[in-house]
Amino acid sequence: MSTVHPTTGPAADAAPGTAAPAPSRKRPPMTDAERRARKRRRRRSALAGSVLRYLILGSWAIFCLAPVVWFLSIGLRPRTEIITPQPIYWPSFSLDAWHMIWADWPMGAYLRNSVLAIVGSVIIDLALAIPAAYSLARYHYKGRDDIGFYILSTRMMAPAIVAIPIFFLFKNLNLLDSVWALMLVYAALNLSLVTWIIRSYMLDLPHEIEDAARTDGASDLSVLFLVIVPMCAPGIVTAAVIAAIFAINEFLFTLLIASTQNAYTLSVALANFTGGSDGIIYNAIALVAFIAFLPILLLVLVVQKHLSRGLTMGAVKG
Amino acid sequence: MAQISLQSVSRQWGADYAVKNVDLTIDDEEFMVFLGPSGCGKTTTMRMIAGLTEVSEGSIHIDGERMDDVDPRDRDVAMVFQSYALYPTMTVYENIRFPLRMRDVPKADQDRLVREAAAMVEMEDYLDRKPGLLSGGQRQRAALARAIVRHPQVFLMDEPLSNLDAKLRSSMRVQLKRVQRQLKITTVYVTHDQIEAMTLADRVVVMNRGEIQQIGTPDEIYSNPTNTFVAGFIGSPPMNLIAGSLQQGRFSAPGLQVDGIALADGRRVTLGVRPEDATIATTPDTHLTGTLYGLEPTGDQTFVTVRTDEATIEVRGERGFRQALDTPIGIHLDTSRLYFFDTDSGRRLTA
Amino acid sequence: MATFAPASEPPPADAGKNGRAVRKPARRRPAWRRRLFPYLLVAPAVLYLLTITLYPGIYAIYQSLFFVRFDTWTFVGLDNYRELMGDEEFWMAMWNTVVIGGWALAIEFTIALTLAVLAYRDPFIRGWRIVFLLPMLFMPSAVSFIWKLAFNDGRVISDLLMGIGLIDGPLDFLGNVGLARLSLIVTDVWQWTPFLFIIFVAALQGQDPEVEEAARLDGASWWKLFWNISLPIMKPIIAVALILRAIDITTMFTSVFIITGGTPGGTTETISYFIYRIGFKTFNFGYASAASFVMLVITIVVAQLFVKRFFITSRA
Repeated sequence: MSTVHPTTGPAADAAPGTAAPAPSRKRPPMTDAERRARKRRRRRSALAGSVLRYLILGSWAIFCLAPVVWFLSIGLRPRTEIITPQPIYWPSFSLDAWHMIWADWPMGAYLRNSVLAIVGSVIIDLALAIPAAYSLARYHYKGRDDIGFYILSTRMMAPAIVAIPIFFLFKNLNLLDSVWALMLVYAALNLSLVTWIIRSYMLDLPHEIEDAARTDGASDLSVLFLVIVPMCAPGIVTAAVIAAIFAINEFLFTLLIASTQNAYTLSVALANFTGGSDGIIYNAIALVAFIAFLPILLLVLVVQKHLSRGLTMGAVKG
Repeated sequence: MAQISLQSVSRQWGADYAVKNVDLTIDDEEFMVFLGPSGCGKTTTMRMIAGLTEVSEGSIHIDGERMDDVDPRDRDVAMVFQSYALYPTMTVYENIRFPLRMRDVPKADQDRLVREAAAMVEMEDYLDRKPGLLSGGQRQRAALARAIVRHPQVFLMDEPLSNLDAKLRSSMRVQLKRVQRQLKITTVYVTHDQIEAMTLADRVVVMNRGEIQQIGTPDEIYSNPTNTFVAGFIGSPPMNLIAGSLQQGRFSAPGLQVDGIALADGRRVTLGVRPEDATIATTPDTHLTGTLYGLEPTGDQTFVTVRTDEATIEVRGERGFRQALDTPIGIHLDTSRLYFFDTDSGRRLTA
Repeated sequence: MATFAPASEPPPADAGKNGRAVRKPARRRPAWRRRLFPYLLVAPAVLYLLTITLYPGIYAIYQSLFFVRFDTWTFVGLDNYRELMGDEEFWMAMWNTVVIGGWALAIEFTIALTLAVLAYRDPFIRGWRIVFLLPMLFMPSAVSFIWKLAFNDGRVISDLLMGIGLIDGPLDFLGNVGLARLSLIVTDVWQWTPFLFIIFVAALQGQDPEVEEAARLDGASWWKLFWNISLPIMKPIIAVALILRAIDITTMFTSVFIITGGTPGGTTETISYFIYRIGFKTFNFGYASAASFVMLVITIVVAQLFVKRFFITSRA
């Protein structure tokens, strides 16, 4: 039997070569040869399908990896070889860039600023978000949904919209070029995210545990901090990690606020790696990029099971 | 005296009443069971005693003190939940200790009290485990220990045995009752299982659709139901209810006739008779004739289902009783154990 | 079966706080305090957010009515807005944002969905996930530099294409409008496709495998399975993911700043960059504030229309 004819359903009856009399819907039983041929076909098309699938997935994987590997190689090249006609090859290995970033630039300061701003902003966020999330998740009161929506909407706000007023605010408070300003801004940008992620996890908790705690004598705050928070630990960690990553990535505000090594973070410091006649010093940039990449990778590995839930602020499970 | 008194207590949800006009007094040290089908308001009423649900109307007093606007934490009641509600991030020890921490019991006493409570429920060996690693029965006991540890005035239990398997349930029932007796704590126990109610209770409150149907000892509820709901709810298999009319001392319904009833005439009267108070007639002295609809031998007895034109009744027969289906059969009723109800209101009719 | 040990004696009548005879009178909490509590919990967060929304909003509106040069503010009323509406550069920036963002989003969505469908039942999914996630783990500024080097300063892309023989001479990714925009699109697609990918994979994996098996037994091909079963289930999730990504794309700034700076001739200048340039390069703050305010209004409208529907209704 050729591969073209459908072998099930009414169409089979209409196929030429079928010996069965007209009204019967029964197919003549397959011979062993036909059965084997069919199996072979199915396996072949399954194989072809698999090959195609892996081809597509593989191509994208290469597309993801290639720039990373290449950029890493850039970071490990001597100064003179960054921009060469054949940049794909890896001519020589050198730690020039590593020495450079510590010697010629305040790398330590950049790291310090980044860490302080991130840790500080996450602490602020958790302190504000945990009670707020609890209020949104477990209490019923007028305006609750509107308040929740308001908090959510700040996530939707483009940094550029408030960039100028915030700039002036810090200018007037004399907080420009300080890690404090960064901390406050990052906290504000991420608060909505952190609140909604934690709220999502709190909603999943069984109500009876709270009833038990209340009859056991716990005040509302005790219930929150002694019972609810420990049970939400995965959600809180996820929220903190995602907020930290967004804080590391932040560019616009940091660009406006920072002007010296007092406040430059890794993200914006990348734009500093220029050296007059050398132009942009890419091997330094590449190394710093990887220095920032490693902790982010570790954090993401820790929360990877919760990542999609965190990024969609609870809208998607798993 | 940890007496609980509810006066005209109601709970409203918009226009609907989850609990309507409950008047109830639970005596000190009494084991009171709230019994009824799902949604009857028994859990809501208990939660109002706990303070977890607000009272819409009426007032609740515990030990003479008015409790409506008092938080659960200050009411000195302890609750055992159907799902145990143990704190999953704490060990059993920490779980049991929690109420003592919350009440600022001196640290020196905490350890002793925790261990005593654990010993009472035989959980001393599991104190370091987290709830996730315990079996259902063990979790139940841990939850009980947590309730016991602070020697509250009142125990509230919300179907604590429903999540256990049948064998465990019956042994836990016995132990629960012993604990309550020993500790002498007023207890409110909510269940939909009438066997639990009958075996555990000092008194039972039967509820349906938010309203109290009857309050009484298990015996009273069983032998003296005040309406068809209580009559039909208690007893397994349930009481047979047959609608008919009563005229000059004679109750008649299709296939059924009983004389000598000392009640006023009524056009719509329902007769109630328990399966164990009806026997298969061996003499022509029958009250009810119908056809044999079903036979269920259970080893020690046989449940016989008989059908008339309008009613189906169940009778307890001898263990060896056998007869062909769809053949005529006569039933004799114990006329001293008949109940009569008004068909429309369900209310019990008494002389 | 369990037997309980005999109870210890109940503590003597005058025992401490756990004894029965001594009990402090119950504390009453007035109803108004109970009602106030949830508001108090949520207040700090709300107040904090108001300082970055309400305050800047008011400030921006106010400032947009002035011509600001350093410390001198001259009231100009709605002139800034009038000028803005007629400003070619402003409309160009809006258009750029739409074009670049639109293409990037479309491409990201298609690729992410395809990959997710192909990968979600794969036994090696964990491996794919890590590799595919890689681009998202670099700082956006770093990613911008990667592609800046690849497209422009290092001519890597051009060299590759020439090596394959597709083109004859090096491509100018800065001077050509289409190519410049393309470089930004590629940058965004490379970095953010993973975002959509993991969300889609999670959504597909969240499907009941038994539903899939039933469909397969019923004879559904993989395409029919996807179109009739998986896709309808995924619709709300796709909506959420797209909304989030769309909102973030319209704020495209970092790559513009680092790679093109708006060239050629302002054709890659997104609206965020426009505001930045007007404010911090030409120091025309009043005008920039007007543009900011317009963006704010658009954001509010979009939020009301889309976000409310998809986020609030997905959770009780």
